[in-house]
This record gives sequence, structure tokens and C-alpha cells, in this order.
Amino acid sequence: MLLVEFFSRNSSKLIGALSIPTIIVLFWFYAQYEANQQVSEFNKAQKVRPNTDETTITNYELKEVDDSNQVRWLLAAKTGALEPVSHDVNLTDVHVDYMDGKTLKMRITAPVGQTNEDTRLVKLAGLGDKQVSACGEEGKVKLEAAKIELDKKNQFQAVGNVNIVWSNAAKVIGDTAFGALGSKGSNDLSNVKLIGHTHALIGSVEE
Amino acid sequence: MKINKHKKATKKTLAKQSTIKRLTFFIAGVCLGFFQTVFLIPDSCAQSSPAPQATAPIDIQANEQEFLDSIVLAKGDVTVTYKDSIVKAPEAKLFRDPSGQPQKAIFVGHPFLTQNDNKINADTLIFEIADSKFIAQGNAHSEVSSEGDTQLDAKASPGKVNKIENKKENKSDGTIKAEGSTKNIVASKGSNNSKQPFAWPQASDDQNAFQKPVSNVATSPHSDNTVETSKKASTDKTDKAAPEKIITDSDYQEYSKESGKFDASGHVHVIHGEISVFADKLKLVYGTDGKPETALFNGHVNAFQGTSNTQAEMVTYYLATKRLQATGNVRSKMLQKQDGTDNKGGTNKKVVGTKPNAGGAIAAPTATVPQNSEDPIIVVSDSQDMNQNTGKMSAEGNVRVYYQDMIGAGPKVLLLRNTDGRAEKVIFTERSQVSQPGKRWIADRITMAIATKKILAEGNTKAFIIGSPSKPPSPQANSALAMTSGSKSAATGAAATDKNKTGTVAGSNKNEIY
Repeated sequence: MLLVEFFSRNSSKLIGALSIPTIIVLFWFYAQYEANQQVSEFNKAQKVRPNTDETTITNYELKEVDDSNQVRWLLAAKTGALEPVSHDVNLTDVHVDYMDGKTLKMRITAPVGQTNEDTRLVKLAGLGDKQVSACGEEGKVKLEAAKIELDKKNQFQAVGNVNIVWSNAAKVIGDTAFGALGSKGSNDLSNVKLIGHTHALIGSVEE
Repeated sequence: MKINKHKKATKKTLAKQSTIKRLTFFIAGVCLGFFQTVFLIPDSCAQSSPAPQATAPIDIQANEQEFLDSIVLAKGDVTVTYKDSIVKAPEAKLFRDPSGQPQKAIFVGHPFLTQNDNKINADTLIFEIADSKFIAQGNAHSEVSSEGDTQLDAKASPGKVNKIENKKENKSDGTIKAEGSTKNIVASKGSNNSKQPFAWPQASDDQNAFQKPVSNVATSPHSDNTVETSKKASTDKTDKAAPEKIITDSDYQEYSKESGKFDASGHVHVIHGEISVFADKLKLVYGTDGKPETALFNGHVNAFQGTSNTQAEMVTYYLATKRLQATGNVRSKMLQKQDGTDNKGGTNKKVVGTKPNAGGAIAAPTATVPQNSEDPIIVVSDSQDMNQNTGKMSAEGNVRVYYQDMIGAGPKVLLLRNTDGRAEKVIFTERSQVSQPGKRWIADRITMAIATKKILAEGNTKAFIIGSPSKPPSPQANSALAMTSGSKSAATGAAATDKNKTGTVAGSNKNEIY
């Protein structure tokens, strides 16, 4: 009897004590499972119907200003489709103007592109026969490439059939190019470095 | 009246002072104008004159290229092309003017330049684009075509080229002008010829001199041990037909095709055909047809041509005619290769003795004299002129000629060689003397036949018989026609020099000695 009493008392206590954390753990696993289920369902839904919540803006504009509130560059596109989550903007008929004060230093034109409103990174790409092209002030410099990436500090990276022409000075081609665009107080293109199969003609070059 | 006079005097003084002031201002103005004209205007003109520009674009191919403000850096398998010049290098740096026009390119990592048939490589190559001038620094090696630009050759007919060369050959027969200081030759160490009036150059000095060509400058350039003969070039006729290149190794080289300039300095070693020259400096002189015509060597020049070696302070070498002019302490050495039959005797000793006994000369006892298989003729003078094609060599100014035991001295000497390059005759054309052990001849013209050792003295001749202390010579009072030469021992001298130490034979106009 004593043994029965002992077991009945202690076992009920033990079971009671163990059941509490067990239930908590089970609840936690259940919640995790449910959350994963919902995320996967949402992702599946997103794949089936992408950018459901995307906002398309006509005549999209984005600009970057420096510390003195001077416009560093101004991006304009025919359309800009904004993804609310990533803040990426998919662009068409893009123009990026690099300014030195109120002077236009360089204009980059691309059929399509993408920018991010948070990071201000701009990725421009060609479409079909049309390449991304950059033209300096008074046509002194021309740059063409399959893709050009621009950061907010005027640095660029051009990839694929890069072709740069400095009027009456040099003409160079290569696989990849890095450098700065429309920097203040310098040339339209400065500190340009080309990598891979580079070929330059330096001197009086006919365009 | 007095007051009036005083006023007039004052007026005159004032007028004089004003005139002086005007003159002073005028002179000062003229001076200022002059200084402005002399100093300021040329400066402004110089500033306004534009720098020379490249007349064609520069083509650069590389793995990487970096365009900085005025510099273009190219890295990795760089190939730069400008007109007909192609430079390949691991790294290149191109400098541009503010308008972006290329001015200068510096190639590092042992670049190679090719310009038509011309080639240059060095540790560093500087290309001054506007002047089309290349400067090679450090282990510079170049191969410049002596035929000039092949494009020019293509335009010129072959006959024209031959005519030009023929003209040059005709010109080359001229005599040389004496230059350089006259210096007495200091006896070399270990010389056994203390009795001789001048030092006898040791055969061992240049014994190892005649070896195969060494194209690398790394070998000591001024050493007699590093020498060449380029025998292949001399024997191979097909090589002669091909355009010969001027191969130059040196520390520093400067080459400009447009201005016709090629300079090299520092341990210069040049090979052209069968001539090989070591010197401190080289300058190629180009003709109007763009071909290098003359090579000017300066400083410690050591030239090897066939079996000949010439050392001098300055050497001028005419590429087309293969004529070599040397000035300043010139010392030439020509190896006299003996016939094969001489060497096959098993001994290098040659039996000499009685030869034709003219004039009642007493026959000397037969003697043996050591004979080297390659006996050198050494000619020391202020200046020398050698022509490989004609085989003539003329020397002027304090000339000394050494051959075996014969020594000749005179102001002017002509050496004639046969087609094999062996010296046949040495002609002393002015008042000269020739010595042999125990004998000496002085005459207005002396001819030394090398092979037979026959000596022909002409014009106011004098013969001295000098006896040794053990065998004092006696005066040679009879006809001067009877003497034997050198190593063959004096037929009359040996017998007649028992009593007197010296004897003379004079009054003859022609002495012929056998």
C-alpha cells in the first residue's frame, strides 16, 4: 500500500513536471513547422504570380546628391517597376546623367537596367543589338559595353566587349573595364583599367 | 655784360646736362631692347614651338591596360606596334602629353624590339616616339642589318647596289692619314729581348686570341683570351650572299632609324661578318640611302678579323669594303699559318742554313731554328689601314714590325697579303731599318719577303753586322750583297764577326740579302 501510495504521489508529480516542458517544446516545433509551411506556400505563390505587389512608375527618376547637396548623378527611365520588399527597381530606356555642378559631364544610355533605392547601385544592360553606351561632354569620350554597373561614388565596371574612345587621343577595347565616370575636376573617364584581351590605339585616332 | 655771360654759360651747362641725360636714356633704352631681343624673345619662341609629335598611332595589345592621366600602363604579354617597329615586353609604360598624344614609352622586363630586319633587346628599352629613337639599357643586344631598310632595298635595283659597293671599294684604296701620338713601346714583362731597341711583344700575349667567335658580351671584352675568327663566315660563300648583320652587345645602345643613328657604349662587342670588335664605344654612320656605312669604335678597341687582331684607341671600319682604319697606339697581329707540310715533319724545328751564296759569301754551318706553326707578324704604329678585300695593310707613324727574329722599324710600312690571308711582303717605304740577330740594315726602301725571309734594301743602304760578345764581329768591308737572313744564320756574318763587335757596309744603292 505504501508503495502504491508512494508511486501514485511521486509519479503524478514527475509526470506533471515533465509534461510542462514537453508541451512547450512540442508547441515550439509546431509553430516552427507552421511558419515554414506558410513561407513555402508564400514563395510558391510568389513564383506563380510574381511581383504581385510591384508598383510600376512611368518616367521614373532617382538621383544621388553629394554632401553639398549638389546632384552627383540623375537617373531617368521610361518605366521603373519597384519591388516593395527588395526595393529593387527594374528600368527600361534608362538614362544616367553625371553632373559636375550644373554641367552635364556624361550621359549613359541603356535599353534596360536595374537599380536599388537603398544601395543606389545601378546595373545597366544591353538588349539585342543595343549596347550600353556612355558619352562624355561634347562627345570627347565614348564607352560601350554589354553591361555596366555603377555605384553611387561614380565608380563603374563595364563587362563584355568594352569599347572606349577618347576623341583624337585613344581607342581601346577589352573584356572588362573599371574606372570613374564624370569625376569632378577630371576627365569624363578617369583611372580606367581594362583587363583581358586589351587592344589600344593611342595617338591621333579616327573614330 | 657779366651777368649775360654768366647766364649764357649756365644755359650751355644745362643744355649739355640735358643732352647727356637724353643720351643716357637712349643708351639705356637700346640696352633694354637688346636684352629683350636676346633673352626674352628666344625663350618665348622656344615656349611657343610645339613639341615633336608622333605621326602615327601606337597600337598596344596586352592583358591589362590602365589609363591614368598622362600615363598608360600595360601589363602582361605587351605588344606595342608603331609604324614598322614592334616591341614585345612583359610591362610597358607610355607617357602622353596633355592632348593625349604619345611621347615616350618605357619597356621593362627585357623587351624585344623588331624593326624590319633590325632587332634590339635589353633589360630596359626606352622609345622616344616623336624621334623614333630607341634607347636600350642593360645587357643590350642588337642586330642591325648592314643592308639598311629592306623596304628601301626592294625599291632599289640590285645593280644599283653593286655599283654603290664598287664605288666604295675604289675609294677605299686611298692611303691613311697619320694620327695619334707617338709613343715608345714599353718593354713587356718577361721579355727576353732586352738587347733589342724596343720591346718584343710576347707571342703568349695573344696566343689564345684566335678562337671561335663569342657572341656573348659576358666574356671579358678587352681580354686577349676572348676572341674570334668567324671562320665559318669566311668560308661559307652562301653566307656572304645573305645580308650581313651588325650584331652588337653592350651596356647601352641608342638607335634611330629615321635620323640614321646607332650608338653603343659600355663593354661594346660587335660582330659583322668575320670581324669581331670589342670597344668602349661604337657609332654607326649611316649613308643617305639609310644603310650603315661605317662603324666608329672608340676606346680600348680590340678587333679580330680572320687570323688578324688589331688593338687601338680608335678604329674606323667600312662595312661595305671591309676596310679597317686604326689610330692611336695601334698594334696588329697577323698569324702566319705555315703550310701543312711544315707541320707534318713531326718537329717544329726547321732546318736552315746555306742558301744561294752570292758575292762570294762564306757558307754558314747548318742550324736549326724553332719555328712555330703559327708565327705572328706584329705591327705596332700610330695608325694603320687594312683592307680585307685587297689584302693590303699600311701603317704609318713610328712603325715597328716583328716577325720571328726579324724586327723592322720605319715611318711607313705597307704589308701585302695573298688570297689566303697570309702576309707575303712587308715594304718599308721611307728611311727604315730591319734587324736580325747580329745584323741590321738601313735603307730608303726595304722589302721583307715573309715566306723566304728575303730582304731587299734599296736606296742609300747601310748594313751593320753586330757580333755577340763571344763572337765579336768584324767589319764587313766587301760587297753588301752577301748576307743570309735571320734564323738561317748569317752566312758571311758568322764567319766574319770573330774580331769586331760591329761592322758596317755602306755606299750601296741596293742590297739583296738571302
